[in-house]
Amino acid sequence: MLMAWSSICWLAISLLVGAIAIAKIHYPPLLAGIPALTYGRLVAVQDSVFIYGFASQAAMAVALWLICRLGATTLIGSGVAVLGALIWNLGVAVGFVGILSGNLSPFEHFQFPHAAMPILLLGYCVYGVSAILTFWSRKECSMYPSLWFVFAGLIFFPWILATAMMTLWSPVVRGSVAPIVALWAGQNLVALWLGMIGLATIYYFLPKLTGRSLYSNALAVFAFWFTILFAQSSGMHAQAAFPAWIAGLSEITTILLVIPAAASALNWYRTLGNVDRTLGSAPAYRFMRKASNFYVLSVVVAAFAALRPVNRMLEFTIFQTGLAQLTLLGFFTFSMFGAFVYILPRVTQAEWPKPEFSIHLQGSTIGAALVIGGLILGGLVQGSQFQSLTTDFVKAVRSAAIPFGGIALFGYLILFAAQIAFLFNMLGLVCCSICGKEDVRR
Amino acid sequence: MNIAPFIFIGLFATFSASWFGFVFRSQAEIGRETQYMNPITGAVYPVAREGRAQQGTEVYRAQGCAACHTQQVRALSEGNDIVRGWGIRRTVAADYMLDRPALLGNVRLGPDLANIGLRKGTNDVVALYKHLINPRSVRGGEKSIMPLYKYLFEKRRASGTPGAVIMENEPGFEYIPSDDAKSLVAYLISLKSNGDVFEAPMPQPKAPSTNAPAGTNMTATATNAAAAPTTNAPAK
Repeated sequence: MLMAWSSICWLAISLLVGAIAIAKIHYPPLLAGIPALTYGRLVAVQDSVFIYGFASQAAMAVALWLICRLGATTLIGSGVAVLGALIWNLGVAVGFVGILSGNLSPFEHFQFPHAAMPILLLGYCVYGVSAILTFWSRKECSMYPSLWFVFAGLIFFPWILATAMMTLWSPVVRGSVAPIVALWAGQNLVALWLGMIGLATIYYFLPKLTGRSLYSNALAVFAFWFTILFAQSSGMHAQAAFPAWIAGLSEITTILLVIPAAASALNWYRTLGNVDRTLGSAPAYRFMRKASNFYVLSVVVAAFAALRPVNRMLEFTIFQTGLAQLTLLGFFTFSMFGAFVYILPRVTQAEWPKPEFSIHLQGSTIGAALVIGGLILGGLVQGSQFQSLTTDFVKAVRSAAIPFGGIALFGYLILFAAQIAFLFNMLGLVCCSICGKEDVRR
Repeated sequence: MNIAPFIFIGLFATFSASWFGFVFRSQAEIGRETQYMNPITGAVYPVAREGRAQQGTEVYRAQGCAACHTQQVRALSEGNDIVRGWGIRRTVAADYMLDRPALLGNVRLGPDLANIGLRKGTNDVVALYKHLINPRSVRGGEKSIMPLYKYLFEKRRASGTPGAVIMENEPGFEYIPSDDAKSLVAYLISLKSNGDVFEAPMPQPKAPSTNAPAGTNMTATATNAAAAPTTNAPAK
């Protein structure tokens, strides 16, 4: 509960910072006198706080719950897990202040200052003790596919984090080695940590919420191995200063990722059949359906953008930001929302004060669509303008960043408002839970 | 049967592949590169930055400049960076050999800066200061979306202090560059990827024109730089 609450708080902060950053593009003199709020730092805060404050923390919380549920066991060492979460949040806070005070590193998803990384890793290790003990004590020995994904994510995450921590700030690693490692680590942090937990929740909740069994376990296992095989070297082609084999390999694997994604999509589609009408109104189910659609869409769009002529046009444009947001803000965030909506009442043994989630669901959907759509369309315009030599550079950037950035700004604000509504709903849930316990005592 | 250990071994083996490929191999190959020496001119490339410019790297990093500016020039077959005048040749891994950290960037909301030192030249320090104080005051940048970095300067009533920057649209005031501003501009001027490297040699001019006027504009510098080895080559 602590992790869910703090993760949504950090998400709201990240979204608000994102909105301010875009507003500064529209009107540069806005807050121009404050060094902490210069555009470069705000963007870094937005990205890092999203990844560590919200996404990783939510993934850790949901992973722990899935281990308990699928292993038919109770959480072992809940105090340890809470301690881990507290250390983790301390790390995020250190990173947040560090970036604003100008101690940021230039690598995407790793902008936190070096000092924050050991705290985060320690927090994860403390949390990991509880996760491993719970995993070992599971009574259900056969592993459902979701547990495979959780298991993989929990192994990959510290590996990626430790590699990044030991290389990106190291005086031994110089030149373009650090950007290559940063790109590899950042890509895998999204695909093989957040992506794995996101897929785990979809694989668990879609059958669970519809009361059906998964269409094919074998197909899920196929998707599992091939996602890992291809994702680990994908998404690294939009760079111009690296050895050619990196771009070549990455283009191919990004396109090949369509195969495991198609396997997953087929599996979900066959599982669901035609149950839409009966369950269409359950919020958890609707979030999960949207998350699965976003996932398939993100893989297909990424594969299309990896084609060499397309990449040539879209390289270095805000399309890349939009694509990243399609995975993070679309697929991953919606899968976490769906999981929270289902899990939190069961953990607190209370009822949602507003069980229909109308504001949160609609707001998140519209907001995410505006952000993603705005950035992707803006990137397409920017890319085509860059190709024409007659267009002045500033004009080319403005034609993308001003109208489409404005759409994204609007989207961030809606998303922010939706998260505030969600936080109030969670607050009500906690109050409800405390009142309920007092009733029992009487 | 508990299959977790087998999954663990499988995951370890799979992910090790990319770890070795991207992390270990990168460090073993690119991390060990040494400076190139042109056998004819004896010029060494890349050259380490002098102290002030090296400090400027930190300012560039701390202000988050890399969020909007890339420092990587694509080959002619990959994009029109060179046609736009952002570089003479494509950039390769060797260009960043001595950078720590290499500030490559990955989104272009501003122009590429890999060769800003060649474009501006050492005489244009004041122009760069003015650009940092207010990007919209610079000719051609009236609609710039770049943030203002006034806070790197101290604004005072004009008193003719040496080294002060005077903005045309703010008469009666002068801006004194802070240490950070001086370092940042020194760093920007040091940004030049114009050396001969094995993977991406400098383009040779069609007809060596040693009489090209020495100027701060990049094509002239390029011609001079590239022409020198041609004319000094030993006669066969």
